Amino acid sequence: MNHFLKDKLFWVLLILLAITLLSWQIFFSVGFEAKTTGILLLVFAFVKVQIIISQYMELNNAILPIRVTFWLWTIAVAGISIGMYGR
Amino acid sequence: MNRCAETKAATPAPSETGMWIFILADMCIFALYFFVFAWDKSQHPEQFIQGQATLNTTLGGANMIILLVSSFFMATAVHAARQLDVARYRHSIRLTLLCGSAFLVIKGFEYSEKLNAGFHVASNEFYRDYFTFTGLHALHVITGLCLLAYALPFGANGNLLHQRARFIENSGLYWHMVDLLWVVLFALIYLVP
Repeated sequence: MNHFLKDKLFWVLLILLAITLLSWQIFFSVGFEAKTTGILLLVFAFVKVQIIISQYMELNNAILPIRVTFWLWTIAVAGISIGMYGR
Repeated sequence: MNRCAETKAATPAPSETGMWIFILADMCIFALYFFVFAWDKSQHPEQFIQGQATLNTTLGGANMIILLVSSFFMATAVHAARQLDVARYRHSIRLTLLCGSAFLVIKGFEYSEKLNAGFHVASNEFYRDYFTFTGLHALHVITGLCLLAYALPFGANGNLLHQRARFIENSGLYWHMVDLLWVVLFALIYLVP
């Protein structure tokens, strides 16, 4: 277990799982309005996407134009998806 | 491990720019699927609410967790390959293959559940989108599993691992893309009310 705790990749997994569980909590909770719930779930999903891209895919190893394009993809797709849902 | 391999072990083999572009192109195609789903949902809200209620969120969520764990094993395999740690590489690739296979088994069970209940791709707009987009994603999982099955024997020894480092890095990128696409598909199709 100590081996895992020293592993950065394992901590990334724990964060991703924590966000997933938080999304489930929001999905099953009745405290939020449907639109707010939807927007929160999409925001959490795209936060997870960005964590996977930066930590597991190691985007920092790629050349600058690729890094910029991936950032733009996340921002654009998240923005359009949330915008289409929230309108 | 020979001296040449030891010297090069510390240097990560960056994935090819071509692979990044390929992955980006694939992600752009999936982005269009996300928009089509959101658009169809805005056009047929009742149909999508009813359709979503028939989905098995527990199985979809289990698949979400399985793919996140598989991404951890894949990233571990890539790191092990860089360090020429053949035992950890083989172990991690096998676990990734196991997770990917479990994903497909659950997906197959989910599809059979829907088909037995009389829902299919032509039932309505919701099921058309559900079967098409999750089916295309499943094809990506199968492709990823083929790449990993091909990469498994590279863990036979340190030299082979070093020679095929770039293929392993690129396969890792592909697998993580499969994971992140499911993150969005799961939220859009299963969770967002």
